[in-house]
Amino acid sequence: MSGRRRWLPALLRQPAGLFSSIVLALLVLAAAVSLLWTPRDPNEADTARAWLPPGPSFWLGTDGAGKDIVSQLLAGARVSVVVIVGAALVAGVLGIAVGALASLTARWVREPLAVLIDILIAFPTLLIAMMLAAVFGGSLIVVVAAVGIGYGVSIARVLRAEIAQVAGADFILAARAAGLGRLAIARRHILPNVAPVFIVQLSLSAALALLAEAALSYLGYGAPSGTPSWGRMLAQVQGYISVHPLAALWPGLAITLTVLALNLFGDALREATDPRLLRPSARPMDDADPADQALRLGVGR
Amino acid sequence: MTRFIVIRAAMLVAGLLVASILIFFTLRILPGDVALVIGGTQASPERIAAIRAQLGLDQPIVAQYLDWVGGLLRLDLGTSVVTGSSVSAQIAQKLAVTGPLALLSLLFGLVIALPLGFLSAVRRSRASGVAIAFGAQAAAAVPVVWAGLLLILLLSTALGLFPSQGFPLNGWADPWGALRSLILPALTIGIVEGAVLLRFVRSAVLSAQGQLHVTAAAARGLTRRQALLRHGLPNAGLSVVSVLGLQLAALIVGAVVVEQLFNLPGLGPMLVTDVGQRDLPKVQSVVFTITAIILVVGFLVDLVHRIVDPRLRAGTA
Repeated sequence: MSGRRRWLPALLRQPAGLFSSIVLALLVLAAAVSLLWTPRDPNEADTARAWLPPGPSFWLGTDGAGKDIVSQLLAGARVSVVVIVGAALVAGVLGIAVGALASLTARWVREPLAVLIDILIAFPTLLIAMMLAAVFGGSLIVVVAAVGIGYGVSIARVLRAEIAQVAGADFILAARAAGLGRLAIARRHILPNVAPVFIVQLSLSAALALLAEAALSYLGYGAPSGTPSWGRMLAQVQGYISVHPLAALWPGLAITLTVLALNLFGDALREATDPRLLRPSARPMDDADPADQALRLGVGR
Repeated sequence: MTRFIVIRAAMLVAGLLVASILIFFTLRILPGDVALVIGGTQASPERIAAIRAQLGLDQPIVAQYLDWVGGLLRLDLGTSVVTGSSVSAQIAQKLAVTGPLALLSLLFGLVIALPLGFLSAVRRSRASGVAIAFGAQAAAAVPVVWAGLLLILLLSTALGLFPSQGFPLNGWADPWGALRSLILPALTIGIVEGAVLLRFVRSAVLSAQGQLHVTAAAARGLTRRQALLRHGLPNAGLSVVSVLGLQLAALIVGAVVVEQLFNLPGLGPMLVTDVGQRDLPKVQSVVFTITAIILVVGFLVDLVHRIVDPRLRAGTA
């Protein structure tokens, strides 16, 4: 079990792993700190101090309503953490369940399910979210549900191929010959083998979830008013971009850094835990199906 | 080939059917009176009754669904509950903006992704290759809204090259004006989606690098790069063709956000308004139309892929 204890140093030794770990740790820290303390009330508006430049009392200045940008960024980290964790959870559970059903069950179950996955892939996540928003109104739950369903389908598709490949391997046959049951094989042999791919997909989903939250909050269907979110901050400054470009810089930078960190984190973690692997930066396409490969990189999501 | 077309067409029909069922029943997921959802709590009883009559809500839900699908088959997408106007006519009008925007974005995306993806794969151990790969990684992490804002700041506010807002009132009657107002939005989507696609192209070229026929060509005296250009790039290009359907879904989503940002009269802002007004019948038809476009394009892309890819042609002979 020494390999299990050493994954953290292995992760932090890579530049990408170190960078993403630091950014994600800062994100969680910001969210936690904002629960106890922010420099000012993030929702405290005062038009008398609108668009203040950065200074000692407002470190990054204020927005058009006079709200403190630092406080909003800190409080906005909470929404980001909720969306990242929530969407990854929904997408992960859905992806594993559907992916396993579409690869390990009897033919009459798995083949129609595979076709259904291919059909559902065509549904853009944003459209799912907008349909749910049309019924329930915009909220973070709608964002998490829509993004979780959308990326869950894409994880299912990637895992289906992966599981099918592992399930056909000789050591699975050997395990069956040794008398292991289906569930035991799935848990002990298949899951550990697809786990690295799953982790990469999960962290990609979390990254895409944050981008989706930004888009949905921008359109007015994400975080409700009064809940500071980076996406909402972007929406509020958009009309003033040419006059106050700096105010739009911070929330955009926060989203980009977090998404970048999540994108890199999965690959770095995979490399730290999976010694058989080539460097991910040089990893050639290992799938026959380009669509699977594209989904793994986030194309079309 | 015929067999492939038949199977693929059957999948397309199944896809359209599943999409229609999912969309229709998702929008009626709430128990209780749909008319109340649409009208809102403040609507008068007369208004509720009018909505109920218009949607045929006294019918069983399956009959309502069949009624809607029957309309779809006649290309009748119903009418808006809010304005009473024909949804088909409005979609056709908005597609004149969203369609060209999506195509132009795709063009920009490919122009960015293909050469740079190839270059970053060929020079993967050199500084330039690493820089491109890193740039793509970073650009793929940028929210579309922010990318748009930064481009407005740079190309519109600072350099004054392109308009940052709106579309000519007379539309494509002023082709240059219309095209000019689409360039910045299309560039926004093209850069972000192109960055994602670039990583895919890079990975496809890298895998071609290891393939035997490329090595064989290099052995016959071509340089590594010539061998890759002549024998590796076509393979990578075909992979890109095969994921264009997926890519289109991303472009349309990007268009929804970007049209809102650049104030373009396309499908995006219309859908945003309809969702806000809870115009469920219209949302239902607009979402179905967008999904149908994605499914049909995916079908066509698969056919084209089948025709241009000699490996697949041989496989089904």
